[in-house]
Amino acid sequence: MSTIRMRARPYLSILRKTLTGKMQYRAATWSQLVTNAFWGCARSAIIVAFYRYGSGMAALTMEQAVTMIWVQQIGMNLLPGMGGMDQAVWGKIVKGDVGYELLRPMDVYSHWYASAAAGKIAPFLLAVGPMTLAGLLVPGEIGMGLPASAWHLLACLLTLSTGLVISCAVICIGYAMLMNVNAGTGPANIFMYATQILAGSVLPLQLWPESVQGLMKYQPFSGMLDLPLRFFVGSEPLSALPGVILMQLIWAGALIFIGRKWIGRNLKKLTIQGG
Amino acid sequence: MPQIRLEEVCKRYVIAEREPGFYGALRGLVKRKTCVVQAVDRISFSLEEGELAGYIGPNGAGKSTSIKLMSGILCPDSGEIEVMGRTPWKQREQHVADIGVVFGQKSQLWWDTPAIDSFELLRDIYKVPQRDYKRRLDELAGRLDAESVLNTPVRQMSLGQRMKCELIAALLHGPRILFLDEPTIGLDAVTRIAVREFLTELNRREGVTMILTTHDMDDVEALCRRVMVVGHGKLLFDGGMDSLRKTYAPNRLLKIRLSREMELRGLQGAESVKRNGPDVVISFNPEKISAERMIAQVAGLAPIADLTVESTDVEQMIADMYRELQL
Repeated sequence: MSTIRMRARPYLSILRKTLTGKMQYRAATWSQLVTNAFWGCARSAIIVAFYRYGSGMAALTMEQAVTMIWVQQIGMNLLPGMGGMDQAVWGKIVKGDVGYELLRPMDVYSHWYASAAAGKIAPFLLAVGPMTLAGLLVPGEIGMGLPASAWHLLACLLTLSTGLVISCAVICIGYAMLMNVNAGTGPANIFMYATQILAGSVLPLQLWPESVQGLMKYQPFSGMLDLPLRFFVGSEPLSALPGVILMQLIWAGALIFIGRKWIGRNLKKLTIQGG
Repeated sequence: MPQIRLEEVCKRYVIAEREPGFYGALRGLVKRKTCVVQAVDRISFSLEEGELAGYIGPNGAGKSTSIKLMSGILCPDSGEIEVMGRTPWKQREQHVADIGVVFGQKSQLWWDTPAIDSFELLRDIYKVPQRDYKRRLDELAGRLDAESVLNTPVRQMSLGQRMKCELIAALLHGPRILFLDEPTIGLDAVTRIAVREFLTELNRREGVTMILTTHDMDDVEALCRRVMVVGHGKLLFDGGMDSLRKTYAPNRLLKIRLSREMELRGLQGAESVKRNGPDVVISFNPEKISAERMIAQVAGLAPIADLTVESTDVEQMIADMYRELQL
């Protein structure tokens, strides 16, 4: 037991450090929450307009879709490339400070993975309370609804945490792309944005065309945000929970494998810029 | 057995080049020229435990690259490196636990929190027991006179304060070897001297092996018994400060102020004589003519108000050396 604690110590310390670091920027934290809440209203209003004036059938009711938007505004903090907190390692790779990272007696992949996780968990924890409150306080059609049931809420939280395992693996693949400094930050950025869209952060995946529904549901990135949210609004039955978690873990395993190999290979031919 | 051993180590970088301006950038999208820079070119040397060596050379000579190779964060293209019996980039995790590194131009402290937070994070990363950590931190902060800044956020520190904290950060886990890449860059004279004294003390008391790169020749003179000069990735000189002088700057300078202005004619053994009003600088080689005889000669020719005998400025010497070797 104590060896496990010894092994976990550096990673927990990184998490604690990121959280306290993030919290000290009061103005930034609050302004980000306000922006988030504003976007929640705006995006909900767009959804409402579509439902009012659109024709045809959708897999989600309007209330479900609006609620999904609000939960997205909170859950988005867990997506790669959101909230700027991946930049702890990102900036170091780009500016060449990555040298110091490699000087730590830790496995590089685990170290970066832990930093990525810390960078996602910290803003999520800061946002979850105030944003839920904001969503519930917004009146009328564009306000957030309650979860389908307490069990659905639990299923959502559970799958969000397994989704985070995927999300951090994606961030690490982004780091691997960045390590090829001659290619610049473009490829990594495009990759991150693509995964955000595939996670349903622009439009809930169930509102995409019927023909791509199967593909959208089973691709690796839906598990980061969209699938957990389906549980929240009740558009996915609780009986699907084991299957969803299994799929998330399989994809996470595959992405971790790829990222680990890729970063390992890049370390051998790394260029450390400057100085 | 040497603690650090390099054998025929080579490292090349591929650098992407493009023509200047918008048109150049546009062409670069289609066709990219690359060129190869040999940053380290068959460097071999070894260092015993407890040595304090200066690693000097002009910008781009391969100093930092060598440090990065020895600290295990870069992988050489060919050649062998052994530090404390390990191959740094292959056994990186064990290796880095035993070394400390300071890159003067980068920071290992978290930018936006007090230095003490970074130290605590490093304590957990290196798994330093709390009691050892406390003792070590107090000792280092005391010797560097940095106790008062430990709670200051790093971004609000002066450069000197930050550098002291960087040194503490690199030494908390009690490394046996310390690599310093330009640790005194940009520091004021007082801090510079404080850092130098700290390093000398650390080397003497704890026997920490140090390799130091710098452009500040006073650093080298004050700290290093052994000097290695690199240029274009090659090791050009490796030996004591004295023998570096003897080889590249054998001459002494006799600086004299005369009581009244006059020409000094017929000085024997003088390599050069420069006169500026009453001030005369005579360069001579002490192997050919002793300082005493030189002074006697001048005293016979003119009244002397004041005089000093100096070695050639190290800085000048290195500049001459770079020029001579066409670096």
